[in-house]
Amino acid sequence: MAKLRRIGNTLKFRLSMADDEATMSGALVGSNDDLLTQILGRLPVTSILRFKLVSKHWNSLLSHRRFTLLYHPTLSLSPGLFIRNFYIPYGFNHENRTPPPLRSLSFHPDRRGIKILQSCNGLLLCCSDRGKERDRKYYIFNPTTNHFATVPSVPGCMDFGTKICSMGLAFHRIDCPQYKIICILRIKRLFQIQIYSSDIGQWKICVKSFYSSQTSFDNGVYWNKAIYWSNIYSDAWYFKVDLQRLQKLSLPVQFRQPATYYFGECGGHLHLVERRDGYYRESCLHMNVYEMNYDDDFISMKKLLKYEVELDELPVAYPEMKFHPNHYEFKVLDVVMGVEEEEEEKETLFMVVGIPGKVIRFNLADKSFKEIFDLTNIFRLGTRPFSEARRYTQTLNPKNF
Amino acid sequence: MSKKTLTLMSKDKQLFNIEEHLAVQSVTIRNMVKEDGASSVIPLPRVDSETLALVIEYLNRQQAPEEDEDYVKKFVDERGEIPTLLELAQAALDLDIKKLMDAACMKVADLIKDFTLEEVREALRIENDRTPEEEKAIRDEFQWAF
Repeated sequence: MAKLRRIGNTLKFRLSMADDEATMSGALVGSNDDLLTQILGRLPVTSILRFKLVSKHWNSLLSHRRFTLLYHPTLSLSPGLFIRNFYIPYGFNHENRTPPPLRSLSFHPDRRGIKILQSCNGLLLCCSDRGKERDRKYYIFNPTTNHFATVPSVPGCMDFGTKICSMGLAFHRIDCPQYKIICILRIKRLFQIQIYSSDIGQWKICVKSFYSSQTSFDNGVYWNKAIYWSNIYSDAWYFKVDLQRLQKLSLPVQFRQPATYYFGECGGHLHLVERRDGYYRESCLHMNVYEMNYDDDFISMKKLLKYEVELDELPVAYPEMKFHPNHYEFKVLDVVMGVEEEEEEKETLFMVVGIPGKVIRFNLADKSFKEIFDLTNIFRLGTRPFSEARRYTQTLNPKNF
Repeated sequence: MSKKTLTLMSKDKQLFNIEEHLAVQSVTIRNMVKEDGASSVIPLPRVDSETLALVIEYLNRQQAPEEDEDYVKKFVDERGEIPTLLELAQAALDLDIKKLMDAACMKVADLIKDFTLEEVREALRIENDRTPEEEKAIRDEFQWAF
């Protein structure tokens, strides 16, 4: 049976298959991968993962790169985010297709609790929440299937004068089916990079030793086969995962670094949200959203201004968003693609903002905002829990643990 | 100006007439009309007469574009039986009628998404090509799926 034929120019071929009649009707789907692919490609992720078990044939069809590619647009739409242990749906139109995931992170009895460090294309990098850093355990967790793996401890990380500076997860649904974890160790005054591959199951020293004036490697973002850290400025490091090489960012030197509100990836784009310059009261509500594609050059990043955002209406609508000297209480939690409830197909970029007790969704295209969640009875800590907000996404690749 | 009519023939050799401007919503038929001027009868050897009647009913719909989306949803909803929907989806795929294909496939997906593996195999008549030993091994490995 020919697979994935191009439709339209194959009529002659199809006519010649008139003798094929016996296979029609009941057995029709079983023998036609085109139709099967079309149907299965419209299932939610959890059904797809389950249906891999229907038969060997289905397993090979659903595990095939071609199917992954077809399904990828659905996966790149995220249905919600975790704030600490709590899941908050974004309320987009596509959500009915993705059943709610787990409600808490208690996948493993870690008595220090578990927190999410990074969300990367369907997998979460987690670690022990409280307690001494050297006793901390790291986990990779798939919130769709509840599978998890405990990451072996990094060789040498218990040595005197050594500490883990940063852990970053690199996982791509199509290009890199095995995940990698990138660890930056600080050994006295120098740094070292070790890398863990899920297929090998071992840590390996990758960059033995380097000196850096950049000392914080927080909030790693995996984009375009590399890990970037949120403090991007000229001469900041980034790590090319595919080449296993540390490189410097070439950015124009700036006199003053504006405040970074958000740094993350969505559907192949890298987004940076920065405070716009200005010294008046509302200026902290004014920001620029930059968007980069794979072939854009970092040096021209500031030319890639995608949206100018003014959230002046927010403190008016929500007086609980108090003003402190030079800032309002709010945090940009996510920049994500979504579909409004009323719109059938139209995808737009949204900014998800946390204010005390509430989560707000801001449509960057038409500048409308909408309250999507009331957290008043869940967290009583103002905006502090928002620093642990991580996007929920799904992957079709459950078996790489 | 009289409207041009095409004749479609189902696999059980039944003939259906349809106005050309409606028939060409099917990209496959449109290409045929373009290529050979679609002389007499267009044979559709993979579509049975009941399914073809449905397809023709759909192509003949008189809907304003803004109501079309709802119409096609309702159209497939009313034919909620999986075997009928599969035939319809297959015909829409072969004839390249995108909206109908989308809606029919979406409906099938909606119907089967919470099925057990056994129910899926039965509904879509899929043969389980695993041996009982393989089946057991996979059930142990993927307990969450059952």
